[in-house]
Formats: sequence, structure tokens, C-alpha cells
Amino acid sequence: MTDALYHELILDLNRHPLNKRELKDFDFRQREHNPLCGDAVEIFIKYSGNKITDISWQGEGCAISTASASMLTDYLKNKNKSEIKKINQSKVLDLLGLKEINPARLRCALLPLKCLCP
Amino acid sequence: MSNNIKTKFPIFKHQTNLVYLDNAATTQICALSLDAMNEYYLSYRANVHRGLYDISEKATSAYENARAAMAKFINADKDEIIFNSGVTFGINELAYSLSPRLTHRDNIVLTRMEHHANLVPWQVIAKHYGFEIRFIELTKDFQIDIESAKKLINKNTKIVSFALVSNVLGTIAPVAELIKLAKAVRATTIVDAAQAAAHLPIDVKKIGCDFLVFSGHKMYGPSGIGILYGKKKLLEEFIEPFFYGGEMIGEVSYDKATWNEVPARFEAGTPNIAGAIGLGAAAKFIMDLGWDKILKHEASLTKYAIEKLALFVKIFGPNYCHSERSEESLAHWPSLVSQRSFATAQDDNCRIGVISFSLPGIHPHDIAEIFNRDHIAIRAGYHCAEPLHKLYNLPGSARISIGIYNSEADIDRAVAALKKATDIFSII
Repeated sequence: MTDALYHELILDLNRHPLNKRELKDFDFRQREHNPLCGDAVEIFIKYSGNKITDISWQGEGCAISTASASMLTDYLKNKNKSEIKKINQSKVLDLLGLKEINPARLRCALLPLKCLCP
Repeated sequence: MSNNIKTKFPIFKHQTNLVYLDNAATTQICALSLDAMNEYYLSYRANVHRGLYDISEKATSAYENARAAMAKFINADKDEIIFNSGVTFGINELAYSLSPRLTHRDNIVLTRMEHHANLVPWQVIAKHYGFEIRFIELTKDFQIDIESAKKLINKNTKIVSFALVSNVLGTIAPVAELIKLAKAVRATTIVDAAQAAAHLPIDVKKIGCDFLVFSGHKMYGPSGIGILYGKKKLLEEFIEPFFYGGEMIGEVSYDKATWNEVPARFEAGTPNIAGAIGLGAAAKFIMDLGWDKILKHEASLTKYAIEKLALFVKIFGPNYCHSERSEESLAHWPSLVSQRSFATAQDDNCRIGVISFSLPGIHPHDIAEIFNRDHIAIRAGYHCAEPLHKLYNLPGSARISIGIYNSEADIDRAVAALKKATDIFSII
């Protein structure tokens, strides 16, 4: 049975997150925190000119915020800086393969994006 | 506790499938409390202590009867009961009133398990007055470490303020010992009874604290109402009013004002009249139900829950509970009832049915989500005690907290939901 929220991609990323490491050499670093549930995500970016040459994240969070941080960092890797501004709520949900999500979980999904657009 | 108890809480008529296990956040409200508030609003709505007409007198008498009920509830005198909006207000009021006496040479002592409401006000005010904040450590069994308290409380300690029951661990503080240590150095004592009010009988005379605070919405009453208890002498001579305006004054001129008697002095403005009446009714509901029944039911249910949950999860708090708790067995307690039980502070009665836990591989938020699918309400996160979680390196916890209307069937449904969560996340 497939779970509408906890589908294979999200569960897999929860077990094996992508890009979850600290960058020692970075040009951008931003941490965001959800005081309600305790999720915390910190994103690191290394640029070369306008290009994102490396991007990673660190933190503790639920399956949704963990999957979101993984997908978001993976999506942006090797892209132009200007791509960051184009990411919105529907893009994040799209990356996560989610159509609908309740307001509390939407905050989890968007927490990593908040690091990029604080 | 018979199944009948659920019929006294209207929510369960409207939410027939609800398993409500978030009682530490807020309890459901009893019908008696709702009826009392409704009666006020529908049949004698008026301001108190002002009108010279029948319904105002009736409102005043209902409001003051509620004060008397709250006094009986904690064995205080009527004049020692101040209505406010709840524990957060009460502790802030005390922090603002007491702190100006403190200097950079002084310290105040809290514990590691405080709710943010008994931490943040002190942090902010300490910056103004320069006093030090000390924290009593916990033992490996998640109990208050009395040895640590003995080391920290010294002649420069001016305030000792602590939760009677932890809203995360469920731990009951050894209140008599802490008060004794505080009194020995003449520190002012404040007890945060938010998590105790609905679950343990409170006797302020036996506890011997200077101030005690609790909230209506955690004891089957309405939200937005709570109690600040203070020893009458202290209310009269030691602390100043915090808010100024109507009702709290004696005489007023354009230059100055004098204060009304205690407790009116501390209730500026039109109070939460309906809330007070509703809270009085909730206190009567608890007293009529009887502490013996409540203690037995909750202790046996807590034991049941811990035994079932411990098979799956890691419990963040004492993982035991005495099943035979009754009013007589309270004699063994860290002296909520009896001052003579110092020696048994570490016995297995030292927790109530607030059970926080973690499940490796599943974040608390995901656990709560899966519980909600089966209409089971639990809390996930820091439960307003972030430093405590960080102290144990936990990114939050999930929390089940028991109320009088819960049953073993509720716990069984929670355990079934936990199994679902482990299936979805393919762990264990």
C-alpha cells in the first residue's frame, strides 16, 4: 500500500538523506528553526561566480523536512544562483512528489526553503 | 474509573472516535464547568464588585464562591487566591515583583526540567538585575537530584522556583525537601503546579511554599483563567501590585492612589468572571470525584501505558510507576501530603502519567502525524522545554499524557498506532 504522505521517496530520503554534511568552505550559510516541533535546518552554499558549485545541509528534522532539505539541495547543485529565487511552495511540493499537505506539515516541507529566502 | 466519566465531558459526544492523550497541553473541559459559565452568561451576566442591583450581586457572589472553591482545592485561605490568566502570567508577575530586590550578588534556583514559563521570565529579568540563575540537576532516573540542590542553594539564594511535576518527564519534584532547603536560607519559594493540579492533591499548608501557581485549562476547566496563591502576609507586605487600574485601588486622586485589600489589590480591571466561575466548578468536579479514585485510576493507567510503550519506545522520564497509588499511599510520597516522607523521595511513586518518548528512526512529528490518522491526539516537539531536550540530545519527543477519562483501550489504540508508524517507516 502506498502512503500519500510517506511514499517511497520520502521514506528513502529519511533513511538516507542527500547532501547532509557541513561545508567547511562556504559563501552562504543560514539556519532556520521551527520552535513548535524542534526541526532545525542549516544550509551551506559554495559559489563559483554565479554558479552553485556545492550545497549541503545539516540539522534534525522529521521525514518531511529531511526529504525537503535533501531534494532542494540536490536540485540546486550546479545551478545558477538566480534559480534560488525561482523556487516556491509548489516547486518544493513538486520535488517531494506531494500534491496536498496539511498546514503543519507544509511548514516542515518549507523550512529548508526558508533558509534560502529568510 | 467507570466509562461513565466520558459522559461528563461533552467533547466526546461531538468527537466520538477521539482518543485524547494530550492532557498535559490542555485537558478537555467538564460539563459542570461549561454549565456554570453558561448560566452566568445566560442568566446573571453583570460586572462584579460594582453594581448595586440583583444580578451584579449574584455575579459577585458566584465569583467569590469560585474563589472559595479554589481555596478549598489547595487548602488555602480565600484571601490568598488571586485570579489571573494562568501560570505564565503568574510567574511573570512574581518575577517582575520579586526581582527588584535582587542584586548581582544573589542567585535564584530553578531545575533542569522547567517549562519555558518558569525559565524565560527569569532569564530576561536577570539581565536587568544581574542575579545568577542556577539549575538543580536531574539524577539518571530523571528525578530531582537533592544533592545538587544542596550544593546550589546557599545564603545568596533569594528565590527557589520549580515545577511540582515536569510537563515532559512526568517526574514529581521532592517538594518538601526543596522547600526545606530554600527556607533554611530564607529564599522565597514558588511552586509551578500547572501539571499537578488535575493529578495530585495539593495542600499549600503542608507544602509550605510562599507562592503556587496553576492554570484552569489543565484541570478540566476553561482556558484563560488561573490561580496565583500567595501567603496572605506576603501578599500584604512583601509584593507590590503588578497591574494598576480599576478594582485594585483604595482611594485615587490626580496625584496618587492607595491600594485595595488583598486579594482585590492584585486583580486590576474587570476579571475573567465566567472563567473564574467555570474554574471553581471544575475544582468542585475534581473534589467530588475524589482524589482517591483519580490517583488510583491514573496510576494504574500510567503503569499500563509504560509497560506497553516500553516494548517499542525509549521513554524520556522515569520508566516506572507504582500501580497502587491511593490517598493513603501518598504518605510515601515526597510529601505532597505528608512532610515526614523525605526518605522516600526516590521511591517509585515519583511520576504521573505524562509520558514522553522517542522511537529511533522516526521523528516525533511523524509519530504524531500517524497517530492523528487514527484520531489519537498527542504532542510532538519540545513541549515548551527546549533546554531539557537539548540536555539529553533529543530533537524533541512525542508525548502521551493521561487524563481521568482515558482508559486502557485508549492506550491500546496508541500502541496500535505506534506499530503502524514502525511499519510505515520499516523499523524494528
